[in-house]
Amino acid sequence: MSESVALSLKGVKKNFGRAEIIRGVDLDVAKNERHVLIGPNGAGKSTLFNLISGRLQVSAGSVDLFGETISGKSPHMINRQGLSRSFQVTNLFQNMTVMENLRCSLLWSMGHKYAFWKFVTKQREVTERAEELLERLRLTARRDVPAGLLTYAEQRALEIGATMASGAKVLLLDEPTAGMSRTEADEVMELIREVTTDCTLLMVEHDLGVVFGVADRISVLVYGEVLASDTPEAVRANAAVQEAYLGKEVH
Amino acid sequence: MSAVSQQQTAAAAPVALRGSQWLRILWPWLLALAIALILPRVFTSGHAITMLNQMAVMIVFALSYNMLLGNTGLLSFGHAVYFGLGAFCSMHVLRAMNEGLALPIELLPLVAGFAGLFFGIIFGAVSVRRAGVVFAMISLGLGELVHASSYMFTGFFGGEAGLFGDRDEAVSLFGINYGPNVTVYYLVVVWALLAAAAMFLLRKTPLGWMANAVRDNPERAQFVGYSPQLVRFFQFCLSAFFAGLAGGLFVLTQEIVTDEAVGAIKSGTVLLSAYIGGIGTFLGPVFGATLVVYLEHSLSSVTDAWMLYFGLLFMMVVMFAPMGLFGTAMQQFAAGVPVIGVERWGCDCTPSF
Ligand SMILES: Nc1ncnc2c1ncn2[C@@H]1O[C@H](COP(=O)(O)OP(=O)(O)OP(=O)(O)O)[C@@H](O)[C@H]1O
Ligand SMILES: [Mg+2]
Repeated sequence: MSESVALSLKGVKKNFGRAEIIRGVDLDVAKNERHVLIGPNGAGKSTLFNLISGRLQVSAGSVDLFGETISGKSPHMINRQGLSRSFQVTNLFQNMTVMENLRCSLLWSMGHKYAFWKFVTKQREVTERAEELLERLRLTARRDVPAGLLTYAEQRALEIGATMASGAKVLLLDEPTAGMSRTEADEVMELIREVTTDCTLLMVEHDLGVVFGVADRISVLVYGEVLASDTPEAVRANAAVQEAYLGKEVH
Repeated sequence: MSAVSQQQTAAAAPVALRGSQWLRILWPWLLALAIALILPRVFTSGHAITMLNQMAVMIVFALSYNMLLGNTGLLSFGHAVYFGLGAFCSMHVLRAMNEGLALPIELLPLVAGFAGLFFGIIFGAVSVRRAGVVFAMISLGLGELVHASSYMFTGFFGGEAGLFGDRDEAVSLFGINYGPNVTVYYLVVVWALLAAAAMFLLRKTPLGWMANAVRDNPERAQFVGYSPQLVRFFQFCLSAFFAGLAGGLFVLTQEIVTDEAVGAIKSGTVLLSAYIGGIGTFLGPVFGATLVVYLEHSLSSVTDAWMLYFGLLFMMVVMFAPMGLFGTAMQQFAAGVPVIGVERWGCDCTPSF
């Protein structure tokens, strides 16, 4: 298909037993686009992310990354092809410090693989990149604190940092601002905007104020189906969307 | 490239600083070496030397075990397989040396290590798919399988009597006759220190770090590009190498190896050693192995029920000091350092001795 598509879902379905949670999703995300996925609780947004990132296997349909089918591959293979994701529920190496978490997130992408003949802390490039990330995440002061002891907002920031550490070309962020205060959320969104200037972003977000500020396109997922996929203005004006989602959910 | 030259210029200027830096890194190893060299002069009885030899062997074995349990989160009930197969293979080589094979005796542990690695690759491939109960059960099964084959392939395993070799009828690199127990002890110490240092350094490599990562959160490890199976596999193989090496040291010190070397009791003992000392620190298994060998010797000479007391000790540790005796002691001393639940698993640069 066209050169400009980064991520493409074709007829993706997922059943859990008899329950059909994703019911045939077609979705194209263009290169360098910031695409936001919205939808009511339980619509299947996280499930869709799990299908794209290989955490779950699709029941039917396929997922393509830069024209190559990735559905059916294992998560680490998909990651190596340039797709990185964060989790709605923070999913870090809890016993490792902030710095160690970032270093671990960098090792593969900087080519160190399973090496057992060199020291991690002697890899200057990894250290520099990790320190730069620390700075950006405003976690420099918390560098040596185990991830499990960070505040909630700090953990979320680290979660995002670990996701984008590898410099993946496609980022999936699942509710990066969930549970944050207004100012924290604004800071995180600013960070996301900064780091996604030259990559593709697919993000789940509930806060509509945030959504309309950042999105190039918005897709609305309701009961496992894409109700609309369009520019923010068009989505806002879409009657079906207003009825199904915006009308009820606007805070 | 530039990093290297910068380091060199930086190092070239203050030579004294460089020396003190080395000392800061090396002092625990120098101390260990000093202790190891002094002990046989203090405890000179034949019994004590035998015990020291066994301690050195057990320390290497327990450290290799902790590469699995402590570092990678793999609970193995069959680690003696690699110890024992390393021992048997090197015993065959030793016997060939007795017949005239011109391999220096000093390299025998290396032969055993590669034998352990070889079987680690074969058995590891079928073990590491899953961690947890699945891995534990497969390791148990493999242990039984290998132990059962020791009764079937008596040519290789020597049947009930086991196999004998003679360490002083072999070529030596330095022209040393390793006949006396205390002489071979020094060779064993050198190998044990080399192996321990290698295992210590491995914790600081990308593989060592990702082993910790896979232990703590295999899912996240996948999403940063690593295959948990492969991380476990590589750790498993390296661990089998060092277990095999320990088996080689065993052959050097005992000059006899029987089916017990691959048996479940051996697998259990190494688990107990590592756990009693503490699997969260590098030195935990060293401490545990020393203690277990000591108790084996001293308790068994006092009472026939020593296994009972030994079992009680293990249960107490599991219940009241789950970080092990050494790990708990360290925690008490390092009260100022933030410690979370379990000890810092020590994948950072600062050595968690
Ligand atoms: N592993 C699973 N087994 C069975 N049902 C599941 C599983 N995972 C998710 N579901 C169901 O699928 C539906 C969609 O869940 P999902 O987490 O994808 O929703 P979501 O859109 O991310 O919601 P939220 O906004 O609350 O995060 C829910 O009804 C959930 O109960
Ligand atoms: Mg969700």
